[in-house]
Amino acid sequence: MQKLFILYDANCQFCLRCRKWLENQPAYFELKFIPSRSPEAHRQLPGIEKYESSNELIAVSEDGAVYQGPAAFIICLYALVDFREWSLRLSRPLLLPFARQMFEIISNNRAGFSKWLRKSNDGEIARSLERCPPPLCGNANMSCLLAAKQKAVTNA
Amino acid sequence: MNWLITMYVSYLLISVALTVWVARTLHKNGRIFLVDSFLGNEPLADSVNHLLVVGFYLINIGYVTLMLKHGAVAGNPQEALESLSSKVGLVLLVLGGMHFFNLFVFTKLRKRGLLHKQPPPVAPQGFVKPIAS
Repeated sequence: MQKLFILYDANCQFCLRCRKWLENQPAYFELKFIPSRSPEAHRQLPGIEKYESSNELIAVSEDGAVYQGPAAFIICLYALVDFREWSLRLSRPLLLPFARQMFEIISNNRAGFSKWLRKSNDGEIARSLERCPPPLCGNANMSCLLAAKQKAVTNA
Repeated sequence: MNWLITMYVSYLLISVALTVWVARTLHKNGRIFLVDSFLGNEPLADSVNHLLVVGFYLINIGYVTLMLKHGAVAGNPQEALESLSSKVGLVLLVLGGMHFFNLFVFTKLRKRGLLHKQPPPVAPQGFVKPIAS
């Protein structure tokens, strides 16, 4: 992979924060951010319209491979030098559905979370996150994630 | 007192020979690890290899020479031989430790290098044709 187009919702606070965080991380290749459903997106990536209807994050490689939803978050982590190893772990079946919450945790860089992620196995993390809805476009749902972590720590 | 000097000289010769042997093993066989870790960049691999070997020699020859006078001075040839054996034993253990440490460093470097070549961990859900800009 040499380049990644990332289509994000320009009205979404969560998406904007993610974009800012991604831009500041060292990456293996160029990340190009394009607002989703914009003329620019349709011009640069003809055919992308049919993927945009679902309102999820979309990532497209330079050879046209489209990644949507959890897979798109995983590919964003895969692009980053410091987080490629994380992308390999988070792509495992038990954790893939929680990619959006994971991205929230990682990009917020909460100390203690990465230790929790490292120490717990996939099943434990999945069980803790089952009760957490994915971050909304308004406020980040950090309180739920913090509670999940607390519960996991006390149960351990 | 000839035997004491003989013992000291034997200790130095044996220890330095062992150090050189381990260093050459690491230099020759470690190169393959390093070339792989640095994605085929042979000049870089050779450079790092050489630097690691220099560090290895510094630490080990330093240890060997420091330990020459370690412990009670032998009072007779028998004690001298025992002392020689203990000192060489310690040198071997330290060389063994350094050897495994080097292997650990090689493995970590290689792992980091392989990460660079790692393909995406998820499959795409579709395809489009981006316009080259």
